Amino acid sequence: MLCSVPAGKSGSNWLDRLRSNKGFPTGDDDLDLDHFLTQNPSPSSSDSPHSIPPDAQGGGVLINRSEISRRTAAQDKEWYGIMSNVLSELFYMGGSDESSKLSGKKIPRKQTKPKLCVVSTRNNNSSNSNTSVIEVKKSSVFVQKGENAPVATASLNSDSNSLVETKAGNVGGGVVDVDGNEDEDEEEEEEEEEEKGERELKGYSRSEVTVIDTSCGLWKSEKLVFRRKNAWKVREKKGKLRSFGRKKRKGNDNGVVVVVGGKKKAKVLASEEDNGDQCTTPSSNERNNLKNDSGEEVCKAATNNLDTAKEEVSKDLRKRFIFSRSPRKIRKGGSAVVLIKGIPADKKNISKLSNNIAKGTYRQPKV
Amino acid sequence: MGPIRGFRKRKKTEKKPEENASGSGSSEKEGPVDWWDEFFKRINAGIQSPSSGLDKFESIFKISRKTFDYICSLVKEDMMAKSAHFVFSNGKPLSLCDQVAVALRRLSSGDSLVTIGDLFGLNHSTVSQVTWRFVESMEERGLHHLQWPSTEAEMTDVKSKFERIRGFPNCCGVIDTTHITMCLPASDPTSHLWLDHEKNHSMVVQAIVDPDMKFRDIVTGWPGKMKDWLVFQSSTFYKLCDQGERLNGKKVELSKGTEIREYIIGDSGYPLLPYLVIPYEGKDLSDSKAEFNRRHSATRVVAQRALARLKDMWRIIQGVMWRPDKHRLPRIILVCCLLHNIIIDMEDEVQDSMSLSHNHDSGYHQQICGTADINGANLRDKLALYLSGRMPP
Repeated sequence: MLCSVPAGKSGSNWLDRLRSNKGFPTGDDDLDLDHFLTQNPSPSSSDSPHSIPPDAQGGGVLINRSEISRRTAAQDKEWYGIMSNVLSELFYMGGSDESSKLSGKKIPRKQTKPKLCVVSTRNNNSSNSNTSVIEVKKSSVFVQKGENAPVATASLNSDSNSLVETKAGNVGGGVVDVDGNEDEDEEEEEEEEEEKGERELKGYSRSEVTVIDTSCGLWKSEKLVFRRKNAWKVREKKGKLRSFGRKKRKGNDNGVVVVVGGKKKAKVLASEEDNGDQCTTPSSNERNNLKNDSGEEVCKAATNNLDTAKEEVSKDLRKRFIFSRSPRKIRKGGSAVVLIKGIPADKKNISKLSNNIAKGTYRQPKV
Repeated sequence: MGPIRGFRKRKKTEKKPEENASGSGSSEKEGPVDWWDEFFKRINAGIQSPSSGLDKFESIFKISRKTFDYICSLVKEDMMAKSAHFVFSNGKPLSLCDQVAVALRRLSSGDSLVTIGDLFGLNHSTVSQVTWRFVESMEERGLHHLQWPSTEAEMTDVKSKFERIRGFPNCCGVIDTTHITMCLPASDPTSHLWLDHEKNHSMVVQAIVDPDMKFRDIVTGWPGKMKDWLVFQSSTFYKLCDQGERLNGKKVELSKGTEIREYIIGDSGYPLLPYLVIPYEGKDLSDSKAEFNRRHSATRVVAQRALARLKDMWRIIQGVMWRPDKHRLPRIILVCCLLHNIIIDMEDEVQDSMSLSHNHDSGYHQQICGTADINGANLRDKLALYLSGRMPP
């Protein structure tokens, strides 16, 4: 029910109409649907328990992809394949804007059971020094570790329980230490030791506070407070000091977005929904990664890394592709979600996106 | 030029003579006098009868002109950067003094943005922006006014002043906590975090105070639900003490073979630690313990007075704040503490006229922490013996 298509543009196929409606070149350009479907299979969509309406899935993704590819050179195509595969592991790639509008439901942006992957940027000695190599550290499915030759890292495995931790030192540093304070007695306890950082925090409510401590060199810091009844746990939120001032706001784009995401996740955590979105940490700091116990740990760890991966991927995409986005979206654009879905050409989508952003941003209060 | 209806009601008489007196009082600086004269006329424009409430510099800003000028010099660089877009309603740009005046008035009176805007002839959003710029600048530029004693001479001075109060030897500070109450939306699920044990939404301010009522250490921003000792245990001060990097100065020999380390004192809301001495609990205390508690309580008054004065002087943090930004509020609190210390450092005479109330947290009952460290108990017993004069020579 793509009712926004003008009647006068009939005659071509739906893809052309959609493209023209979105302001993209139509018809006989060098790209077509088959090209993309064959080159960039999106395996996760079939595994996904939340099925996306096929018509909705086609549109946005295709448009975005065609836009991307149109603007990039042939050498970028393999890169694009990697990126899209990784992204599709992490997020629903469907252009669900319209379908969600119609159904009134919002399709979750993340995969319910995403794969664990860590994207790290490293400089090669070869020609493209800015190329980021996708390096998967902890998945039985992910393979790649090449220096120069990027390999597609698609995974069809959606069962998080099958993932095996192979590098306990990194993300899994504090694997499931079931907290001795699980049955919190009345003894209030506050944990600040970061060496014990990975703790059982399920069921804790999470809040961000700005703390002033004049004895500390960094007298102003942002902390994460986890509370359950009388039990408190405090985590540093390093490097993510909320920016208030005009000066400080520059160059901290990612931080803002991450903070926004963190708030949303906090609600999920509080409601104890036990899916892949549950345990998330908005910080890229490994020590801040919060874990849950039992078989979900890997899944949780994976989601912990989502933010890292998300940022890295989006950074890389930003370097490589030029998107037709408004300046506002660029400023807020620390999220890959914005990157992928955020190429709306019609006013409805723009306003919707703006609303979403506005909801997450911090309300400027009175002094 | 703004409507100053509220102030007209408070009018009494004799504005002019007082204005002249205040003007001539600081006549050594020509420029500032001109600013004050103009400023004074502006805020009293359109008022026929003089106002007794707003006729003196000190009555508007709660600080002397000397301190005001010092604060202006502190924040000059930040406040004057790109200040051209701050204008009065009549289009005139705000000078440095104007901006500082607006911010100080906002912090000290706690009046609403609209009230301040009306008083100064400003849009209320300008009041907000100017105040926030001031806060941002002050927290950077004024932080050296709030520090733990850094030199031995400074610490010796602190100790000797404490000893003069009620005889506590080698005491370095008094710790206390107060609450900044807020009105938060009940619909917000995070609001419960700020609900304290008295069923108010509040933010905790922990202060360590010296005998001059200066703040030496401030921790704020924690939600009211956190108990006093939790706030303390999450503070850097606690960590430093635990690591032996603070309160690690000279020991004092009370008698032969009995010496005590540096310590601070606090109420029963804190744990008894080797460096934090709290009163004895219980009713039927021995004489020495009861005497200890009396002296302990009298010494702690400096912190209570300091916090009471802080709230009384800087009324933006007094009373119940209406849905404040909880990330900004700690910074406002810090700046109020800095201003509090600056007044003391400048030996501002406005202190003399301040009341010495020590009721800073009305409606709040004493929290009881109830944990005790054996070394802390030893220290306390030694002090009790010493203060009751029963310590063997």
